[in-house]
Amino acid sequence: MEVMFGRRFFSLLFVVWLMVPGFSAADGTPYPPDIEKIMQEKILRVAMYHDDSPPFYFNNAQGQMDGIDVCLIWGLAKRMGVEVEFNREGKSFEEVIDRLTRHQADVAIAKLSKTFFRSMRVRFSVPYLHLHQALLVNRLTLIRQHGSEELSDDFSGRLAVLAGSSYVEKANSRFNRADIVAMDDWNEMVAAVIDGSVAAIFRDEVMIGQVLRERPQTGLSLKKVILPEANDSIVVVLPWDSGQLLETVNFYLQSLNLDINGDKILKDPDGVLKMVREKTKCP
Amino acid sequence: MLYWMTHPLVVFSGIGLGVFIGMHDPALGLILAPFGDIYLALLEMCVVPILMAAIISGLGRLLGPKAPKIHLYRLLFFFPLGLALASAIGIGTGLWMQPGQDIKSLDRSVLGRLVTQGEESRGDTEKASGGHLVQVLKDMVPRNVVAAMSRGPNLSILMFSILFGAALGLSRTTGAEAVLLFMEGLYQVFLKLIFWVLYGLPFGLMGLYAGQFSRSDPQIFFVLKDFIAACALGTGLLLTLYLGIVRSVSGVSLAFILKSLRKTLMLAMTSSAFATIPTALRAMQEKLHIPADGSGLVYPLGINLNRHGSVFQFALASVFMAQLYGLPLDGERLVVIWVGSMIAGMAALSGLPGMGLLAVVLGFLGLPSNVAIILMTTIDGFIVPMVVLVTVVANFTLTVLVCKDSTSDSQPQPSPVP
Repeated sequence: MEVMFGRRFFSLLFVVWLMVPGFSAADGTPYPPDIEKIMQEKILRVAMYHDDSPPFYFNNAQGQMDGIDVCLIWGLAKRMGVEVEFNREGKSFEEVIDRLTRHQADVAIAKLSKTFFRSMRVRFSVPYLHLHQALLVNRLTLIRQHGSEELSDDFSGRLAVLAGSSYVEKANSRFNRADIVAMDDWNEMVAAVIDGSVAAIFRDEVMIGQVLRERPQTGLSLKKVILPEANDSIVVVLPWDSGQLLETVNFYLQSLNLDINGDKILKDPDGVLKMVREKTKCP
Repeated sequence: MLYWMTHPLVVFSGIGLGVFIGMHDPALGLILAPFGDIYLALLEMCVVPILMAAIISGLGRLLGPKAPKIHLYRLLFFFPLGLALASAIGIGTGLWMQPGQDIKSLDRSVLGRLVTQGEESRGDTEKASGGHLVQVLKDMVPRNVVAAMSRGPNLSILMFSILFGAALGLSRTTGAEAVLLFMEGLYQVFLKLIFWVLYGLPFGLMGLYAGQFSRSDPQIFFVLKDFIAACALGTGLLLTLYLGIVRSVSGVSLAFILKSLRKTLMLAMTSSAFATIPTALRAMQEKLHIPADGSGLVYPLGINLNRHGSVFQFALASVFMAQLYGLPLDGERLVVIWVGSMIAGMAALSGLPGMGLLAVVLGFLGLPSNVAIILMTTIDGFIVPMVVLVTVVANFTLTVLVCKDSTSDSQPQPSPVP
């Protein structure tokens, strides 16, 4: 009796195994639908943020797209044997994510972070970069409001974040006593913290560090505070139903064996970009 | 035989050579730096026993049966007056020279970059805020005297020495007299030791200054040159004033005072005010005939609590910071700086690092103390010797003012010949 059951079970398993590739074979395609679509169109459609953010994505002196994120996707497309099409219509990072949910893009890459609410709508790759969350604080405004230069979680002053970015969610969950102001433009945020109309701005350590590097005189009035325990994993984002493409992206990112973090990028942005170019064979 | 080793020319050559090496060959400067640190450690090795022995024997004699008189009312008068004067001169120099006013955009970039880098290397968790008063008081009482001694000169040792000296002075027994003699003996032994160490002064200073200057960026000195100049002017003013007072009180010539104080002033260049205690006491007792009991108590106590140099520096730095941040200095804020600097200067032994106390004053003004501490630490090499010099000469002056004319029928403390 036991032998009979075993035989039936394995026969059934064999039939199922025959049927699975059989569906694809019937369509004449060897790939699951998400990959198949890209392979047929021979284009990988990439959603990106509209504004430049060197060294991650920017238009170089020749007017061509360049940067760590650009090279990573270029290398992926090359391995798949397809072309890349960058779409930079996203005026906010949420708009970039929206393009994925509406299937207007195959992947999104723009130094995007994982957040709880995004995880309910899209899929994330393994991180290709680890950053820390950071604040740029106006020393005098903070002393005036809190009597100290040290910023704590019970900070209750005005805190600016970029509208439609993951930092809106991060600020709301961490600084729940702060008056959180969402601003549309990064430069507007920087100007606000310099003139003291907001006490601090909240973003990743690279963006914060770049302000102090590009405008060193602000070091007297502004202070960078890195939140060492608050990691910001930067990932490639995919539509919820792109399971196979996610496997491919993860395999590709892991095979590159990148070891980059915010500190390395701030110290030597050109060196990191050069390393990524070499690994992805990006022109 | 080795007398020439403490000659000002030799000592200043050591400093000059150290600065030159530090600025022109930083790699060599860093090699020499440990020798400077070893020298400073040798000096500081003697500081705690000398500090304790001087205060215990001074207070022991003062409260003993053959008590010498010190002019206590003069101490109570001149101590706050001196601090107020040092603070006022710090403010005055800052207002007159305006070292923080109109710093060019390019120079602000240099300072901003320095502050950002300084904060990155110190880490974000470090705080520069002042200590809690209750904690300061708690730390003053040493739970374990031997452990307190291992931390170098600090407020708990001072507290212990004062209590021990008072108890010793009031214990009228032969045993207590023997302890007093033992303390005096101990003092003389360490005095001998420090005079030996003194022969290495030019080499020690060369190492210290080479290390200090090889670690700093010459561009910063250029940007903060006005502050350094203001500090030099204020220091010069205070020193002239103090030496003038000593001259009129003691009735000896300025040249004689400077000659007597030569070793003390040279030692002040090591930036350790404590290291000057033995030579200063000896100069006062032997050359200016100040009784050993009074001076042995007033000078070491003053070095601990009467820090004119720090008070002056805090006042000047606060005015500089207000100018740097465009904070108008009205009467109220000037009073805050004036009084705050005096308090911060007196609290300099609360266990916090010297410049950390600047946070006390700047906190009242709403100015960032982290920035001030980083900027001041960068130009330490120039500022600290001046600050220590002011503290040393100020306490020399205070001791002369308080102890001169004291009639003492106790045995003057014999001093060893180096």
